[in-house]
Amino acid sequence: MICQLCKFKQALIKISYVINDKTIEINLCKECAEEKSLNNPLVTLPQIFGNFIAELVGEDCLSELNTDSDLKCGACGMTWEEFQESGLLGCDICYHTFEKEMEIILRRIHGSTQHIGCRPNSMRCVVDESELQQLNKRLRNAISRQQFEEAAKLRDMIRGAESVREKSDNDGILR
Amino acid sequence: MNKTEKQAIQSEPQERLAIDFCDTTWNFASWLTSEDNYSDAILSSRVRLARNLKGYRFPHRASNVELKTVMNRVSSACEKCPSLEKARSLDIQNLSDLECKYFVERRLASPQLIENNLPSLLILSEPEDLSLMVNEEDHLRLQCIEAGLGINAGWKKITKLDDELEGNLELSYSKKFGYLTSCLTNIGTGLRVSVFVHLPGLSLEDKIDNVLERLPDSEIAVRGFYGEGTESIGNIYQISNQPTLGRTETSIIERITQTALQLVELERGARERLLDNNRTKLEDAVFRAIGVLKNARIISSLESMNLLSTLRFGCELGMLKDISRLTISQLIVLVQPGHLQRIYQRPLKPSERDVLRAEFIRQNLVV
Repeated sequence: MICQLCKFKQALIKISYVINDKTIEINLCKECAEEKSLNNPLVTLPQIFGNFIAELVGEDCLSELNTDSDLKCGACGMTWEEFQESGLLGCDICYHTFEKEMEIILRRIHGSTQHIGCRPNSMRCVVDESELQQLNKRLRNAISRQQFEEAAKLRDMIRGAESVREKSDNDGILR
Repeated sequence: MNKTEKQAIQSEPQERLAIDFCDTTWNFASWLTSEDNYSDAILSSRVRLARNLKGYRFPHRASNVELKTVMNRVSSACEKCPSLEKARSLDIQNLSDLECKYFVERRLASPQLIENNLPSLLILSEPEDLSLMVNEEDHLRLQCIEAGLGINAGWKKITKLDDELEGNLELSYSKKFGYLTSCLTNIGTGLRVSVFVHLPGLSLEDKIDNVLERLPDSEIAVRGFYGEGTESIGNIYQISNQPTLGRTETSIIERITQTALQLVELERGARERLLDNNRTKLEDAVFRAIGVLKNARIISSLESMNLLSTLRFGCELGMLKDISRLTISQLIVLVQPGHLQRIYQRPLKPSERDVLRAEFIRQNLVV
Protein backbone atom coordinates (compact mmCIF):
# COMPACT_ATOMS: atom_id res chain seq x y z
CA MET A 1 0.00 0.00 0.00
CA ILE A 2 1.15 3.54 -0.80
CA CYS A 3 1.58 6.22 1.90
CA GLN A 4 -1.52 8.43 2.09
CA LEU A 5 0.52 11.54 2.80
CA CYS A 6 3.40 11.57 0.31
CA LYS A 7 1.53 9.24 -2.08
CA PHE A 8 4.89 7.87 -3.12
CA LYS A 9 6.58 5.53 -0.64
CA GLN A 10 5.32 2.23 0.66
CA ALA A 11 3.14 2.55 3.78
CA LEU A 12 4.50 0.60 6.75
CA ILE A 13 2.78 2.29 9.68
CA LYS A 14 -0.93 2.01 10.15
CA ILE A 15 -3.01 4.14 12.48
CA SER A 16 -6.47 2.84 12.99
CA TYR A 17 -9.35 4.78 14.48
CA VAL A 18 -12.57 3.19 15.60
CA ILE A 19 -15.32 5.81 15.69
CA ASN A 20 -19.02 5.05 15.86
CA ASP A 21 -18.41 1.37 15.07
CA LYS A 22 -16.54 2.40 11.94
CA THR A 23 -12.84 1.71 11.51
CA ILE A 24 -10.83 4.32 9.68
CA GLU A 25 -7.30 3.41 8.70
CA ILE A 26 -4.50 5.76 7.85
CA ASN A 27 -1.48 4.19 6.18
CA LEU A 28 1.80 6.04 6.18
CA CYS A 29 5.39 5.44 5.18
CA LYS A 30 8.03 5.49 7.93
CA GLU A 31 9.36 8.90 6.93
CA CYS A 32 5.97 10.68 6.83
CA ALA A 33 4.90 9.02 10.07
CA GLU A 34 8.11 10.09 11.77
CA GLU A 35 7.93 13.63 10.41
CA LYS A 36 4.43 14.10 11.78
CA SER A 37 5.18 12.17 15.00
CA LEU A 38 2.49 9.74 13.92
CA ASN A 39 4.65 6.66 14.45
CA ASN A 40 4.68 7.12 18.18
CA PRO A 41 1.81 5.74 20.22
CA LEU A 42 2.86 7.92 23.15
CA VAL A 43 2.19 11.15 21.32
CA THR A 44 -1.26 12.63 21.63
CA LEU A 45 -2.40 13.41 18.15
CA PRO A 46 -4.59 16.28 17.13
CA GLN A 47 -7.37 15.38 14.75
CA ILE A 48 -5.12 16.01 11.81
CA PHE A 49 -7.19 13.96 9.45
CA GLY A 50 -10.54 14.92 10.89
CA ASN A 51 -10.54 18.54 9.89
CA PHE A 52 -12.18 18.14 6.56
CA ILE A 53 -15.83 18.84 6.45
CA ALA A 54 -16.77 16.05 4.05
CA GLU A 55 -15.18 13.45 6.32
CA LEU A 56 -16.87 14.93 9.34
CA VAL A 57 -20.37 15.17 8.07
CA GLY A 58 -20.67 12.48 5.43
CA GLU A 59 -22.05 12.67 1.92
CA ASP A 60 -25.75 12.62 2.77
CA CYS A 61 -25.42 15.56 5.11
CA LEU A 62 -23.64 17.63 2.47
CA SER A 63 -26.76 17.52 0.30
CA GLU A 64 -28.67 19.29 3.08
CA LEU A 65 -26.16 22.11 3.07
CA ASN A 66 -26.23 24.93 0.61
CA THR A 67 -22.73 24.33 -0.66
CA ASP A 68 -22.92 27.17 -3.18
CA SER A 69 -23.63 29.65 -0.43
CA ASP A 70 -21.85 32.98 -0.94
CA LEU A 71 -21.99 33.81 2.77
CA LYS A 72 -18.98 35.64 4.12
CA CYS A 73 -18.17 36.46 7.74
CA GLY A 74 -18.25 40.22 8.25
CA ALA A 75 -15.67 40.05 11.03
CA CYS A 76 -12.89 37.84 9.66
CA GLY A 77 -13.78 37.52 5.97
CA MET A 78 -14.11 33.72 6.09
CA THR A 79 -16.19 32.46 3.17
CA TRP A 80 -18.29 29.31 3.10
CA GLU A 81 -16.00 27.90 0.45
CA GLU A 82 -12.93 28.46 2.61
CA PHE A 83 -14.63 26.80 5.55
CA GLN A 84 -15.46 23.76 3.45
CA GLU A 85 -11.83 23.42 2.48
CA SER A 86 -10.26 23.75 5.90
CA GLY A 87 -13.09 22.64 8.19
CA LEU A 88 -12.05 25.47 10.50
CA LEU A 89 -13.95 28.64 11.35
CA GLY A 90 -12.17 31.97 11.38
CA CYS A 91 -13.59 33.66 14.47
CA ASP A 92 -16.47 33.53 16.95
CA ILE A 93 -18.66 35.70 14.69
CA CYS A 94 -18.48 32.95 12.02
CA TYR A 95 -20.80 30.90 14.23
CA HIS A 96 -23.40 33.63 13.82
CA THR A 97 -22.76 34.10 10.10
CA PHE A 98 -23.09 30.40 9.30
CA GLU A 99 -25.52 29.53 12.09
CA LYS A 100 -27.97 27.52 9.97
CA GLU A 101 -25.19 25.49 8.36
CA MET A 102 -23.51 24.99 11.71
CA GLU A 103 -26.66 23.50 13.17
CA ILE A 104 -26.82 20.86 10.44
CA ILE A 105 -23.15 19.98 10.79
CA LEU A 106 -23.10 20.02 14.59
CA ARG A 107 -26.14 17.75 14.75
CA ARG A 108 -24.26 15.30 12.56
CA ILE A 109 -21.00 15.45 14.53
CA HIS A 110 -22.36 15.64 18.08
CA GLY A 111 -25.99 14.58 17.74
CA SER A 112 -26.90 17.88 19.38
CA THR A 113 -26.87 21.63 18.81
CA GLN A 114 -27.28 22.78 22.40
CA HIS A 115 -24.51 23.19 24.97
CA ILE A 116 -25.42 21.85 28.40
CA GLY A 117 -22.03 21.88 30.10
CA CYS A 118 -20.04 24.47 32.04
CA ARG A 119 -20.41 28.20 31.65
CA PRO A 120 -17.70 30.80 32.08
CA ASN A 121 -17.24 32.34 35.53
CA SER A 122 -20.30 30.68 36.87
CA MET A 123 -21.14 27.21 37.99
CA ARG A 124 -18.24 25.09 36.85
CA CYS A 125 -20.16 22.00 36.04
CA VAL A 126 -23.67 20.69 35.90
CA VAL A 127 -23.81 17.35 37.66
CA ASP A 128 -26.61 15.35 36.17
CA GLU A 129 -28.76 14.29 39.11
CA SER A 130 -30.36 11.41 37.23
CA GLU A 131 -26.89 10.06 36.43
CA LEU A 132 -25.93 10.28 40.08
CA GLN A 133 -29.11 8.45 41.07
CA GLN A 134 -28.35 5.82 38.48
CA LEU A 135 -24.86 5.34 39.89
CA ASN A 136 -26.21 5.04 43.45
CA LYS A 137 -28.70 2.45 42.25
CA ARG A 138 -25.95 0.43 40.59
CA LEU A 139 -23.88 0.69 43.77
CA ARG A 140 -26.74 -0.73 45.88
CA ASN A 141 -27.21 -3.55 43.36
CA ALA A 142 -23.52 -4.38 43.34
CA ILE A 143 -23.44 -4.49 47.15
CA SER A 144 -26.52 -6.71 47.32
CA ARG A 145 -24.88 -9.07 44.80
CA GLN A 146 -21.67 -8.93 46.86
CA GLN A 147 -19.71 -7.61 43.85
CA PHE A 148 -17.39 -5.58 46.01
CA GLU A 149 -14.80 -4.73 43.40
CA GLU A 150 -17.52 -3.27 41.17
CA ALA A 151 -19.01 -1.50 44.21
CA ALA A 152 -15.65 0.11 45.05
CA LYS A 153 -15.35 1.44 41.51
CA LEU A 154 -18.88 2.84 41.60
CA ARG A 155 -18.24 4.42 44.99
CA ASP A 156 -15.16 6.18 43.58
CA MET A 157 -17.17 7.45 40.64
CA ILE A 158 -19.94 8.77 42.90
CA ARG A 159 -17.37 10.52 45.10
CA GLY A 160 -15.85 12.10 42.00
CA ALA A 161 -19.22 13.31 40.76
CA GLU A 162 -20.19 14.60 44.20
CA SER A 163 -16.99 16.55 44.61
CA VAL A 164 -17.72 18.27 41.31
CA ARG A 165 -21.26 19.01 42.50
CA GLU A 166 -20.00 20.44 45.78
CA LYS A 167 -17.73 22.72 43.85
CA SER A 168 -20.62 23.85 41.64
CA ASP A 169 -22.75 24.51 44.70
CA ASN A 170 -19.95 26.51 46.26
CA ASP A 171 -19.82 28.69 43.20
CA GLY A 172 -23.44 29.39 43.99
CA ILE A 173 -24.66 30.44 40.58
CA LEU A 174 -27.29 28.37 38.89
CA ARG A 175 -28.20 28.50 35.25
CA MET B 1 19.68 18.84 40.04
CA ASN B 2 16.87 20.48 41.95
CA LYS B 3 15.20 19.47 45.18
CA THR B 4 12.24 17.52 43.84
CA GLU B 5 14.39 15.44 41.55
CA LYS B 6 16.72 14.64 44.41
CA GLN B 7 13.77 13.54 46.48
CA ALA B 8 12.41 11.40 43.65
CA ILE B 9 15.73 9.68 43.27
CA GLN B 10 16.46 9.36 46.96
CA SER B 11 13.12 7.76 47.69
CA GLU B 12 13.77 5.06 45.12
CA PRO B 13 17.50 4.51 45.06
CA GLN B 14 17.23 1.25 43.15
CA GLU B 15 15.48 3.09 40.33
CA ARG B 16 18.08 5.77 39.92
CA LEU B 17 18.64 6.41 36.26
CA ALA B 18 22.23 6.08 35.21
CA ILE B 19 22.28 9.42 33.47
CA ASP B 20 20.88 12.60 34.96
CA PHE B 21 18.78 13.63 31.98
CA CYS B 22 17.12 16.58 33.63
CA ASP B 23 18.64 20.00 33.43
CA THR B 24 18.69 22.08 36.56
CA THR B 25 15.39 23.79 35.88
CA TRP B 26 13.54 20.68 34.93
CA ASN B 27 11.47 18.35 37.06
CA PHE B 28 10.66 14.77 36.49
CA ALA B 29 7.02 14.65 35.36
CA SER B 30 4.64 13.66 38.14
CA TRP B 31 2.68 11.36 35.78
CA LEU B 32 5.89 9.47 35.05
CA THR B 33 6.87 8.90 38.66
CA SER B 34 3.65 7.63 40.20
CA GLU B 35 1.12 4.85 39.72
CA ASP B 36 -2.42 4.01 40.80
CA ASN B 37 -4.53 0.85 41.13
CA TYR B 38 -5.07 0.65 37.39
CA SER B 39 -1.48 1.17 36.30
CA ASP B 40 -1.22 -2.49 35.29
CA ALA B 41 -3.26 -1.66 32.19
CA ILE B 42 -3.41 2.14 32.06
CA LEU B 43 -0.30 4.22 31.38
CA SER B 44 -1.75 7.67 31.83
CA SER B 45 -4.82 9.87 31.38
CA ARG B 46 -5.15 13.30 29.89
CA VAL B 47 -7.88 15.92 30.29
CA ARG B 48 -7.92 18.81 27.81
CA LEU B 49 -10.00 21.97 27.43
CA ALA B 50 -10.13 24.14 24.28
CA ARG B 51 -10.79 27.86 24.78
CA ASN B 52 -10.58 31.05 22.72
CA LEU B 53 -10.31 34.70 23.66
CA LYS B 54 -13.27 36.86 22.74
CA GLY B 55 -12.69 39.44 20.05
CA TYR B 56 -9.69 37.85 18.35
CA ARG B 57 -9.67 35.75 15.19
CA PHE B 58 -8.81 32.09 15.67
CA PRO B 59 -5.05 31.36 15.29
CA HIS B 60 -5.07 30.05 11.70
CA ARG B 61 -6.90 33.22 10.60
CA ALA B 62 -5.22 35.81 12.83
CA SER B 63 -2.38 38.18 11.97
CA ASN B 64 0.95 37.88 13.76
CA VAL B 65 0.19 41.09 15.65
CA GLU B 66 -3.09 39.62 16.87
CA LEU B 67 -1.40 36.36 17.87
CA LYS B 68 1.24 38.25 19.83
CA THR B 69 -1.47 40.24 21.61
CA VAL B 70 -3.17 36.95 22.54
CA MET B 71 0.20 35.64 23.82
CA ASN B 72 0.70 38.73 25.96
CA ARG B 73 -2.81 38.68 27.37
CA VAL B 74 -2.62 34.99 28.22
CA SER B 75 0.85 35.42 29.75
CA SER B 76 -0.28 38.17 32.07
CA ALA B 77 -3.43 36.21 33.00
CA CYS B 78 -1.26 33.16 33.78
CA GLU B 79 0.91 35.21 36.12
CA LYS B 80 -2.16 35.72 38.29
CA CYS B 81 -3.10 32.01 38.40
CA PRO B 82 -2.12 30.21 41.63
CA SER B 83 -2.16 26.90 39.69
CA LEU B 84 0.71 28.21 37.56
CA GLU B 85 2.73 29.76 40.36
CA LYS B 86 6.01 28.15 39.41
CA ALA B 87 5.23 27.70 35.73
CA ARG B 88 7.59 28.60 32.96
CA SER B 89 6.70 29.96 29.58
CA LEU B 90 8.47 28.92 26.37
CA ASP B 91 8.28 30.79 23.09
CA ILE B 92 7.87 28.03 20.50
CA GLN B 93 9.61 30.02 17.77
CA ASN B 94 12.73 30.25 19.98
CA LEU B 95 12.95 26.51 20.60
CA SER B 96 15.32 24.27 18.68
CA ASP B 97 13.94 21.36 16.63
CA LEU B 98 15.36 19.04 19.27
CA GLU B 99 13.53 20.75 22.10
CA CYS B 100 10.29 20.76 20.10
CA LYS B 101 10.60 17.02 19.48
CA TYR B 102 11.20 16.44 23.17
CA PHE B 103 8.05 18.36 24.18
CA VAL B 104 5.94 16.55 21.57
CA GLU B 105 7.16 13.16 22.79
CA ARG B 106 6.40 14.21 26.31
CA ARG B 107 2.86 15.10 25.13
CA LEU B 108 3.21 18.64 26.46
CA ALA B 109 3.08 20.08 22.95
CA SER B 110 1.13 18.76 19.98
CA PRO B 111 2.84 18.13 16.66
CA GLN B 112 0.49 20.77 15.24
CA LEU B 113 1.74 23.50 17.60
CA ILE B 114 5.27 23.02 16.24
CA GLU B 115 4.22 22.59 12.62
CA ASN B 116 2.05 25.75 12.56
CA ASN B 117 5.13 27.89 13.18
CA LEU B 118 2.94 30.74 14.43
CA PRO B 119 3.79 33.05 17.34
CA SER B 120 2.88 30.67 20.13
CA LEU B 121 3.71 29.67 23.68
CA LEU B 122 4.01 26.53 25.73
CA ILE B 123 3.40 27.18 29.43
CA LEU B 124 4.37 24.39 31.82
CA SER B 125 3.61 23.98 35.49
CA GLU B 126 6.43 22.83 37.73
CA PRO B 127 5.53 19.18 38.31
CA GLU B 128 4.70 19.06 34.59
CA ASP B 129 1.11 17.99 35.15
CA LEU B 130 -0.53 21.13 33.78
CA SER B 131 0.36 22.68 30.46
CA LEU B 132 -1.06 25.34 28.20
CA MET B 133 -0.58 25.68 24.49
CA VAL B 134 -1.20 29.23 23.30
CA ASN B 135 -2.14 29.72 19.62
CA GLU B 136 -2.33 26.12 18.53
CA GLU B 137 -5.62 25.33 16.74
CA ASP B 138 -7.36 27.46 19.38
CA HIS B 139 -5.97 30.37 21.40
CA LEU B 140 -5.83 28.18 24.48
CA ARG B 141 -5.45 24.47 24.99
CA LEU B 142 -5.25 23.57 28.67
CA GLN B 143 -4.26 20.06 29.56
CA CYS B 144 -3.51 17.95 32.58
CA ILE B 145 -1.74 14.58 32.46
CA GLU B 146 -2.06 12.16 35.37
CA ALA B 147 -0.67 8.70 36.04
CA GLY B 148 -3.00 5.70 35.60
CA LEU B 149 -6.73 6.40 35.54
CA GLY B 150 -6.32 9.85 37.06
CA ILE B 151 -9.18 11.47 35.12
CA ASN B 152 -10.94 12.90 38.16
CA ALA B 153 -7.74 14.34 39.60
CA GLY B 154 -6.91 15.81 36.19
CA TRP B 155 -10.40 17.27 35.83
CA LYS B 156 -10.16 18.97 39.22
CA LYS B 157 -6.83 20.60 38.37
CA ILE B 158 -7.90 21.68 34.90
CA THR B 159 -11.18 23.27 36.04
CA LYS B 160 -9.35 25.11 38.79
CA LEU B 161 -6.95 26.52 36.21
CA ASP B 162 -9.87 27.27 33.85
CA ASP B 163 -11.60 29.20 36.66
CA GLU B 164 -8.47 31.13 37.45
CA LEU B 165 -7.94 32.07 33.81
CA GLU B 166 -11.56 33.06 33.32
CA GLY B 167 -11.13 35.58 36.12
CA ASN B 168 -8.60 37.37 33.96
CA LEU B 169 -9.62 36.68 30.37
CA GLU B 170 -12.87 37.06 28.48
CA LEU B 171 -13.55 33.86 26.57
CA SER B 172 -15.56 33.16 23.41
CA TYR B 173 -18.76 31.59 24.60
CA SER B 174 -22.32 31.31 23.31
CA LYS B 175 -25.33 30.16 25.30
CA LYS B 176 -26.34 27.92 22.46
CA PHE B 177 -23.04 26.42 21.31
CA GLY B 178 -20.98 26.72 24.51
CA TYR B 179 -17.26 27.42 24.26
CA LEU B 180 -16.54 28.37 20.66
CA THR B 181 -13.62 26.66 18.99
CA SER B 182 -11.91 26.85 15.65
CA CYS B 183 -12.85 23.25 14.74
CA LEU B 184 -16.42 22.07 15.16
CA THR B 185 -15.28 18.80 16.73
CA ASN B 186 -14.27 20.61 19.95
CA ILE B 187 -17.17 23.01 20.44
CA GLY B 188 -19.39 23.06 23.55
CA THR B 189 -17.46 21.79 26.52
CA GLY B 190 -14.14 21.88 24.64
CA LEU B 191 -13.36 18.79 26.69
CA ARG B 192 -11.39 15.87 25.38
CA VAL B 193 -10.49 13.10 27.78
CA SER B 194 -7.95 10.51 26.61
CA VAL B 195 -6.69 7.40 28.31
CA PHE B 196 -3.58 5.52 27.20
CA VAL B 197 -4.12 1.82 27.74
CA HIS B 198 -1.58 -1.00 27.60
CA LEU B 199 -3.29 -4.16 26.35
CA PRO B 200 -0.69 -6.87 25.67
CA GLY B 201 -2.93 -9.66 26.98
CA LEU B 202 -5.81 -8.92 24.61
CA SER B 203 -3.33 -8.44 21.77
CA LEU B 204 -1.74 -11.84 22.42
CA GLU B 205 -5.14 -13.48 22.52
CA ASP B 206 -5.90 -11.89 19.13
CA LYS B 207 -9.02 -10.41 20.63
CA ILE B 208 -8.00 -6.82 20.49
CA ASP B 209 -9.71 -5.86 17.21
CA ASN B 210 -12.86 -7.54 18.33
CA VAL B 211 -12.85 -5.77 21.66
CA LEU B 212 -12.07 -2.35 20.24
CA GLU B 213 -14.54 -2.54 17.38
CA ARG B 214 -17.29 -3.63 19.70
CA LEU B 215 -16.75 -1.15 22.48
CA PRO B 216 -20.19 -0.70 23.96
CA ASP B 217 -19.93 3.07 23.87
CA SER B 218 -20.16 4.39 20.33
CA GLU B 219 -19.21 7.90 21.50
CA ILE B 220 -15.70 6.77 22.30
CA ALA B 221 -12.98 6.56 19.69
CA VAL B 222 -10.04 4.20 19.88
CA ARG B 223 -6.77 4.76 18.17
CA GLY B 224 -4.26 2.00 17.68
CA PHE B 225 -0.80 2.14 16.13
CA TYR B 226 0.56 -0.63 14.01
CA GLY B 227 3.97 -1.15 12.52
CA GLU B 228 4.90 -3.58 9.81
CA GLY B 229 2.47 -6.46 9.79
CA THR B 230 -0.45 -6.44 12.17
CA GLU B 231 1.44 -6.09 15.41
CA SER B 232 0.50 -3.03 17.38
CA ILE B 233 3.36 -0.73 18.40
CA GLY B 234 3.97 -1.25 22.11
CA ASN B 235 0.41 -2.60 22.53
CA ILE B 236 -0.60 0.95 23.40
CA TYR B 237 -4.03 2.29 22.46
CA GLN B 238 -5.65 5.66 23.06
CA ILE B 239 -9.31 5.98 23.89
CA SER B 240 -11.05 9.36 23.88
CA ASN B 241 -14.50 10.91 23.81
CA GLN B 242 -15.81 12.07 20.44
CA PRO B 243 -18.78 14.40 21.00
CA THR B 244 -18.07 17.51 23.05
CA LEU B 245 -21.40 19.29 22.56
CA GLY B 246 -24.74 18.40 24.16
CA ARG B 247 -23.10 16.47 27.01
CA THR B 248 -22.11 17.56 30.46
CA GLU B 249 -18.47 17.33 31.42
CA THR B 250 -19.41 14.81 34.11
CA SER B 251 -21.12 12.49 31.69
CA ILE B 252 -18.16 12.61 29.29
CA ILE B 253 -15.79 11.78 32.16
CA GLU B 254 -18.01 8.98 33.36
CA ARG B 255 -18.32 7.38 29.93
CA ILE B 256 -14.57 7.37 29.37
CA THR B 257 -13.98 6.05 32.89
CA GLN B 258 -16.48 3.25 32.32
CA THR B 259 -14.92 2.24 29.02
CA ALA B 260 -11.40 2.35 30.49
CA LEU B 261 -12.52 0.19 33.42
CA GLN B 262 -14.12 -2.29 31.04
CA LEU B 263 -10.90 -2.54 29.06
CA VAL B 264 -8.91 -3.04 32.27
CA GLU B 265 -11.30 -5.81 33.27
CA LEU B 266 -11.05 -7.53 29.86
CA GLU B 267 -7.27 -7.20 29.84
CA ARG B 268 -6.95 -8.67 33.32
CA GLY B 269 -9.15 -11.60 32.25
CA ALA B 270 -7.00 -12.19 29.17
CA ARG B 271 -3.85 -12.17 31.32
CA GLU B 272 -5.26 -14.74 33.72
CA ARG B 273 -6.24 -17.03 30.85
CA LEU B 274 -2.84 -16.64 29.22
CA LEU B 275 -1.07 -17.46 32.48
CA ASP B 276 -3.23 -20.54 32.99
CA ASN B 277 -2.85 -21.86 29.46
CA ASN B 278 0.39 -20.52 28.06
CA ARG B 279 2.71 -19.70 30.96
CA THR B 280 5.83 -21.15 29.36
CA LYS B 281 5.21 -19.38 26.08
CA LEU B 282 4.71 -16.09 27.91
CA GLU B 283 7.81 -16.55 30.03
CA ASP B 284 9.75 -17.31 26.89
CA ALA B 285 8.63 -14.05 25.28
CA VAL B 286 9.38 -12.00 28.42
CA PHE B 287 12.82 -13.49 29.05
CA ARG B 288 13.75 -13.23 25.38
CA ALA B 289 12.80 -9.53 25.58
CA ILE B 290 14.98 -9.01 28.63
CA GLY B 291 17.79 -10.93 26.95
CA VAL B 292 17.73 -8.60 23.96
CA LEU B 293 17.29 -5.41 25.99
CA LYS B 294 20.13 -6.25 28.38
CA ASN B 295 22.54 -7.24 25.63
CA ALA B 296 21.67 -5.42 22.42
CA ARG B 297 24.24 -2.97 21.06
CA ILE B 298 21.95 -1.41 18.44
CA ILE B 299 18.21 -1.02 18.90
CA SER B 300 15.59 1.01 17.03
CA SER B 301 12.87 3.05 18.69
CA LEU B 302 10.20 0.67 17.38
CA GLU B 303 11.94 -2.51 18.56
CA SER B 304 12.65 -1.10 22.00
CA MET B 305 9.06 0.09 22.36
CA ASN B 306 7.79 -3.41 21.59
CA LEU B 307 10.30 -5.19 23.83
CA LEU B 308 9.74 -2.80 26.73
CA SER B 309 6.01 -3.39 26.33
CA THR B 310 6.65 -7.14 26.64
CA LEU B 311 8.85 -6.51 29.68
CA ARG B 312 6.16 -4.38 31.32
CA PHE B 313 3.78 -7.24 30.67
CA GLY B 314 6.21 -9.64 32.38
CA CYS B 315 6.33 -7.32 35.37
CA GLU B 316 2.54 -7.19 35.54
CA LEU B 317 2.40 -10.98 35.47
CA GLY B 318 4.87 -11.15 38.37
CA MET B 319 7.62 -12.75 36.31
CA LEU B 320 10.21 -10.04 36.92
CA LYS B 321 10.80 -9.48 40.60
CA ASP B 322 13.91 -7.35 40.28
CA ILE B 323 12.76 -4.74 37.76
CA SER B 324 9.99 -2.34 38.68
CA ARG B 325 7.14 -1.52 36.33
CA LEU B 326 7.73 2.17 36.93
CA THR B 327 11.30 1.91 35.63
CA ILE B 328 10.04 0.23 32.48
CA SER B 329 7.25 2.78 31.99
CA GLN B 330 9.85 5.53 32.32
CA LEU B 331 12.17 3.85 29.84
CA ILE B 332 9.34 3.58 27.29
CA VAL B 333 9.19 7.39 27.35
CA LEU B 334 12.91 8.08 27.71
CA VAL B 335 14.10 6.03 24.72
CA GLN B 336 12.10 8.07 22.22
CA PRO B 337 14.37 9.96 19.77
CA GLY B 338 13.83 13.47 21.19
CA HIS B 339 14.35 12.35 24.78
CA LEU B 340 17.49 10.43 23.92
CA GLN B 341 18.99 13.51 22.28
CA ARG B 342 18.16 15.56 25.32
CA ILE B 343 19.72 12.98 27.62
CA TYR B 344 22.93 13.00 25.60
CA GLN B 345 22.57 16.75 25.05
CA ARG B 346 23.31 16.81 21.33
CA PRO B 347 21.64 16.09 18.00
CA LEU B 348 22.12 12.42 17.09
CA LYS B 349 21.85 10.71 13.72
CA PRO B 350 19.37 7.80 13.67
CA SER B 351 22.25 5.26 13.59
CA GLU B 352 23.93 6.96 16.59
CA ARG B 353 20.63 7.05 18.42
CA ASP B 354 20.15 3.31 18.01
CA VAL B 355 23.56 2.64 19.57
CA LEU B 356 23.05 5.07 22.45
CA ARG B 357 19.52 3.81 23.01
CA ALA B 358 20.85 0.28 23.45
CA GLU B 359 23.51 1.61 25.86
CA PHE B 360 20.97 3.63 27.85
CA ILE B 361 18.65 0.64 28.21
CA ARG B 362 21.51 -1.66 29.27
CA GLN B 363 22.62 0.82 31.92
CA ASN B 364 19.15 1.22 33.32
CA LEU B 365 18.01 -2.38 33.30
CA VAL B 366 20.99 -3.47 35.41
CA VAL B 367 19.73 -4.81 38.70
